[in-house]
Amino acid sequence: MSFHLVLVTKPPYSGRTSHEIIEAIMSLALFDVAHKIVFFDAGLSWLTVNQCPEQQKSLEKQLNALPIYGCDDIYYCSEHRATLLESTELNSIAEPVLEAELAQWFQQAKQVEVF
Amino acid sequence: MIFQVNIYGSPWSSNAAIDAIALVEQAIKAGHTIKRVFFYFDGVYHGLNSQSPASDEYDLLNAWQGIADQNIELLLCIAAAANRGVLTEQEAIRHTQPVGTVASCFEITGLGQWAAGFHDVDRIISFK
Repeated sequence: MSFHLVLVTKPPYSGRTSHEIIEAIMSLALFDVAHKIVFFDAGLSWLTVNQCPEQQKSLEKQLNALPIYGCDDIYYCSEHRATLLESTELNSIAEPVLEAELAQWFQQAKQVEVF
Repeated sequence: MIFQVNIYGSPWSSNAAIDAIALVEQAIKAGHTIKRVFFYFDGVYHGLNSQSPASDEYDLLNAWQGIADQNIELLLCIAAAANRGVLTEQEAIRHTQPVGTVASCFEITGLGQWAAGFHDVDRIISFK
């Protein structure tokens, strides 16, 4: 089945942009666009748990709502986890994917969008 | 081939807009179709009607007007635009703001039009 690939490479809490990334991902599900989301490089920080941002909405809570909208295919680059976050607990909403498999997804995806 | 062009960066923060306009113009010349140009994130600032570059500067707004004159939709995300004060006359009234700030060649719409590109075009090209 064909799918579209969305890579999130920006760190979280980058102003309004971060919330707009979530809104864009939700819109893919709402409009029945088959997709996989991969948190990549600095984007892995979106997946840290127990986020308590001051004066803005929690991205963790919004991430956790994604399955309600139909976003179920959420991943992170496992090699990047080892490099950037070591043993830091990550949100269980996302599953690891190896770079080698991700490379295949790049080839298979109809479109690749990078945020 | 049918394209959607996404513009994510503000008008003067990079050369991306000039590159995007060049791509659109060349694609049309080559016989391709530009289904829509969608402006999101800080890209919605392209819709500001008050852009007033010096006479020896590239006039981005005028260039976008030229693209719109070729019946290509220039779509601003309504939520991203409202958050940044980029409002049509109607939206200005709705938000009790004194004046609309969107140039007439742009339309405001929802993210559904951005997502539509994943269904109805051959290639999506995003500029940041």
